[in-house]
This record gives sequence, structure tokens and C-alpha cells, in this order.
Amino acid sequence: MTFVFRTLRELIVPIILIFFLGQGGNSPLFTWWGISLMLLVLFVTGFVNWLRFTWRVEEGELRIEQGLLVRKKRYVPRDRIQAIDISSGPLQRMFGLVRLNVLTAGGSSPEAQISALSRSDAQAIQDALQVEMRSPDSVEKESTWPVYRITRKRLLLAASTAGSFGVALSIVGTVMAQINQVVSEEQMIDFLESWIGGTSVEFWVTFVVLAVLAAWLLSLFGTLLRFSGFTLSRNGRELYIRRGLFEKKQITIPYHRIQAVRVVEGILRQPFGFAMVYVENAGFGDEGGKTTVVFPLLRKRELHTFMEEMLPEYDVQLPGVRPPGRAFLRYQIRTVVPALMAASTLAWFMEVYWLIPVIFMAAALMAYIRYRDAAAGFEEKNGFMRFRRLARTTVMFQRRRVQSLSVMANWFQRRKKLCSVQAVVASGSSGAVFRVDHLDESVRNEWLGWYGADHSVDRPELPAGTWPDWRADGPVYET
Amino acid sequence: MNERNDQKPELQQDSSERNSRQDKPEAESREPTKSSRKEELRDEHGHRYLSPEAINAWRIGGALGSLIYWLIPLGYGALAMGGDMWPEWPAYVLGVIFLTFTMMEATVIPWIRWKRWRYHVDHNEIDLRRGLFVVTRTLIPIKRVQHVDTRQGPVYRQFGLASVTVTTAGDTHEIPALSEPVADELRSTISEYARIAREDL
Repeated sequence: MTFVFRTLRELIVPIILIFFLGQGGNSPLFTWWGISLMLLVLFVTGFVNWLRFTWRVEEGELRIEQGLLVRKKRYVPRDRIQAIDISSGPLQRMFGLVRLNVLTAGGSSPEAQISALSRSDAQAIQDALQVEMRSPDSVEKESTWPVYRITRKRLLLAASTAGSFGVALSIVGTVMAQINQVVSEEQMIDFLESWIGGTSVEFWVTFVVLAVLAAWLLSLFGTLLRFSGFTLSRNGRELYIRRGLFEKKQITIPYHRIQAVRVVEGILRQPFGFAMVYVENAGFGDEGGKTTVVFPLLRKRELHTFMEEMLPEYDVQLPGVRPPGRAFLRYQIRTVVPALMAASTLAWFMEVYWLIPVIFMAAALMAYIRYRDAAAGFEEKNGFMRFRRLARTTVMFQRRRVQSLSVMANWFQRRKKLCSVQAVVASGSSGAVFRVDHLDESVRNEWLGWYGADHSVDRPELPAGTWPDWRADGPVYET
Repeated sequence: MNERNDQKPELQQDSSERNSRQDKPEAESREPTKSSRKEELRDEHGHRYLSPEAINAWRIGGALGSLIYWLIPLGYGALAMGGDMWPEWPAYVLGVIFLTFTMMEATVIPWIRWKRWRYHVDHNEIDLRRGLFVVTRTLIPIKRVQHVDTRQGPVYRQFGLASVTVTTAGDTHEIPALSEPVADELRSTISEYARIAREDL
């Protein structure tokens, strides 16, 4: 029966889409026909998919076959299976079923999943394959390893400072556009004017405030849903994450697939000394690959202990350099010029000329903190880079995980004897690029020497500075 | 349909050319490879240059490619002529800028780009230096190489050139405009090195 619910869940987005798009002048009859037709089609395909989905254990292999027209077969041999994860979402719980996730060794193939089967069948699979089976609690209870669990207070703090405004604003924008189709702009202005009793300027101010508030609320609830009950545990081989309010997500990250650790101090979080920790992660699957949150909110002074316990390979303090004073102007130009161009276009069209100096000031300030926060360095096997777009990001990686290293300098940089360093690590099935701009020209040969095969490169002493500097508050601070 | 008809004979011609090349006696077919090796240019560090043919290939490819940008002033011009809303002068300004750009692409830019491009491959790493405005040096350890391809577009084919593409788990790098035999050799060299490096692991 779960297929019905699964298709229903898959249907929600198209239904909403049809509902909104259908409002654009078409008759409501059309909309309802559309929805019913779509429901029917997806219902039938869901049912057929369910009919065609088979699994069996044969010759020491888990064999999953699915698909109507294109028959997809996935045979996973026993010795490639690392573990079997068992979990259950609200739907599965309603029917007393479980979801089974097969984790394979090595990241060369996507993992296999059976989304609904009975507990006894799961047990049978486990017995037949004789592999370790884990349910959410077993990992946390059985291990003597540390477990990090998010507190309610922290969760609330994380949610209220999430500020994923970009995504949220676009949602609000779409909703507004749809409202515009239903209610004409004049009607809305009339309504708002009678409600607020103001002029056009006041209308826009209210509109912006409301939109920002709505965006903030959306990101608040989004984060609450996503990170509720966030629990990070580990064993000798892998990190294990459990999170989510209604649907419990489980993510297993084998240590050997971690490519880099990213500590992100959001612009709303940094003033309070909080940061979010991500790992870059090579592998397949929607949650097992790419950039994954390993803890939503930590105090900066907790980071050292956290790293020591959960990501010990990345718990290192490294020497590094910041951009020299003459790079300051380059940072200013790179930030201020594009901002001014955008601001003047906007000001010209909307005739709000006071916007130009305001944006100029904001950009100059941004450029200053970008300049101040940039740093990069390495020692032996580890390297780090720190840079800021909006949030300050500190990335730590191991030399053997870096896929390629580039040092570049444009014409302006060459004139000022500056250069940029860029490292690429694997992330998901593609890569993540980290880059620090406008460092002194001398780091060029140092980085190439560190990364390249020829280690004879003469390495002058780096000017002092040790990163990541959150260790300054940590228990093992050394000078 | 027309396109297909146009292309087919070209393709056939091309393959027949290749066949005729292969049909030649061995000594002759080896000759060009040898001489191309002799002519092969290296800088003071022993790093190799791309094929000198690259300059002319890029002149044609770059000039043709830059024609796309002409759509902007042309489109704007058409709009400006149509109504009184917009002034016409931006079309002329953009036109002059893009004309200069196309001229540069057809003359000096490929030359400078060729002069700046060096590559070096050994059993440890691939070392690329390049760049006109942004001068870049990239190191790719052989151990990180996942696969190597050669590619050849229509312009490169006319000049007997091919590019070698190196893919790692995180990104892709291209060594453009090598003469065909050099590109093939480089591809097999890199994949051989990569195989050995992987066995060592």
C-alpha cells in the first residue's frame, strides 16, 4: 500500500504547480481535469512500478530488479556489502514496515534501497547475507564512541539564524507572482492601503518587511524540520547522522570518503560565536554524496573538541598567511565595482539614488572583512583555506585528497606581485573548488612545492599565524 | 536533411584521407611523426609547447566563435531602429568593441596564447601553464587521473589537431591543440602512467 502514499508524496509538487499555473486565466474545470489525470497516471505508474519491483537473495547476492520498460537490475554481492541500514518514516510506521538501505564498500556504485518491506523480510535478508544490520538506535547505544545530539535550544538558535534567504525569497517571490494573478495589483494596493492606511512608499516598505519576515519564517521552519533531533555518532569506520522531524533521515559517511571539512560561520551566526560544520564527501546517492552537514550549530570553542572526537584527521593547527596590505585595494575593487554597477542600474530604473552611497558603504565594509578573513596555509599532509563570500568559510583538507592545485595571477595581480591559490577536491560525483585570492606572490612556489612531486622547492619561513584560530580558546593551545 | 547531406561526403573524404595515410608505406608514415618530434618545441625548463598549428586554428575558431557576440549589438540595433524608446549609439559602441575583439581573436590573441601555453607530463604529475590575462599554473598528480580522452572538433580536424582531456575525481583539464600523433601519444602515456601509479597504491 505504501506505493500509493509514495506516489501521493511525489505528486504534491505537480499538483501545487498545476493549481497555481492553472489559475492564469484558464477555467477551473481544466485545472481539476489536469489534476485528476495526473493523479491517475501517477497512480497507475506507481502501481506498475510496485508490481515490477522484486528483490531476492540468490547465490550470496542481493538481487533487486525494477522498471517497466527499462528493466533495471542491481546485483550486490555479499562481500561488497558493508552494512544494511534499517529505518522507518511515518508512512512505513503506519503500516509496520521498514526501509532498507544497503551500504556498499567503495564509492564506485550507488547504493541499493528497498523502500518498503516487512520487518521479518528484512531479518531474512540479514540472515541470508550475514551482514551487520543497524537500526537508528543500535549505533548510538552500542558504541563507546562519543555522540553529539542537538539540544532544543541550539536547534532553535540554528533555525533562527539559518537565513537561507536566497531560497526563501525566491519562494516568496513566486507566491507573490501567483497572488498577483488572482488579485490585481490595484486591488492589493487598495487593500493594503486601507489596511495600513499609507502611500505607495509605505506600501513597498511594508511589502519588503513582510517578504523578509516570510522568508525568515520559511527558513526557520525549514531548518527546524531538517535538523530536528540531529544526532551525530561514529564508530571506527564511519560517521552516522540521524535527523529530521517527520521523516527520519539517516546518513552514513565512511571516513575514507571524506575529502574536506568545511566550517561555515554564517553572517548571522558569527557575531554569536557559532558555526556550522560540513564535510565534502565523494560518493553517490542523494544524501551520501556531496556536501553534508555533520553538525548544524557549534560554539567556536567547542569545535576543537568536536574535531578531535569526530573528525580527528582534521584536528590540526596549521601555519598560514594572510594577504599582504597591498592586496586590500584589490579586495575593495573586486567587491565594490560589481556592487556599484548593480546599484546604479537599480537606482537608475527605480529612481532611488540614495541606494548608491548605501550600497557603496556596505560593499566597502564587506570587502574589508573579506580581506581581513582571507588566509591559507599548509603543513606536511594538511592544508587549509579560509575565505568569505557572505559567510566565513574555513576549509581543511589533506594533501592526498586534493585532485588538482592551481596558482593563478591576472594582470592586476601580477603588477602588485599577488596571486590566488585554488584547490579542487572531489565532492559527490563532481568537485568542490576552494580558492583564496590576492596572497603574496611568494606563496605560489610554496604551494606548488607542497603539492607537487618535487619537494626540493626552497621554502622560506612563512610569516607567523596559525589557523584555524578557534583553537585559541581550546584546551591544547600552543604558541 | 541538408546538413546531413553536406556532412556525409566530408566525413567520407576525411576517412578516405586517413585510410590513404595508413596505406602509405610504413617508412613514409613514420616520417612525419619523427620530424614532428624533432620540430617539437620546448622551453628552457624542457616543458613542451602546443603545436604551432594551434595559432591558425585558434584564429579561425576564435574569430568564428566571437561572431556570436555580434548578436548583442545587432539585436540591440534592430530594437533601437524599430522604436524611439532607446538611443542608437550603444549599438555602434558595442559594434566597435566587438569588431576590435573579433580582429584581436583573428590576429594577436591566439599567438600570445600559444606563446604562454606549456605542458609537462612525467610519471608523477601533469604540469600546465597557460593564460593570457590570468596566468595559471596547475598541477595534477598522475595518481589522481581517472581517465584521459582525446577530442577533435571540426576546426581542429582541418588542421590535424586534437586536444587531450584529463579527468580527475573533481575536475577536468584540457591540453588543447596538439598535433594528432602527439595527442595520441600523450593520451597513452598519461593513461599508462596512471595505471602504474594506481598499481603502486
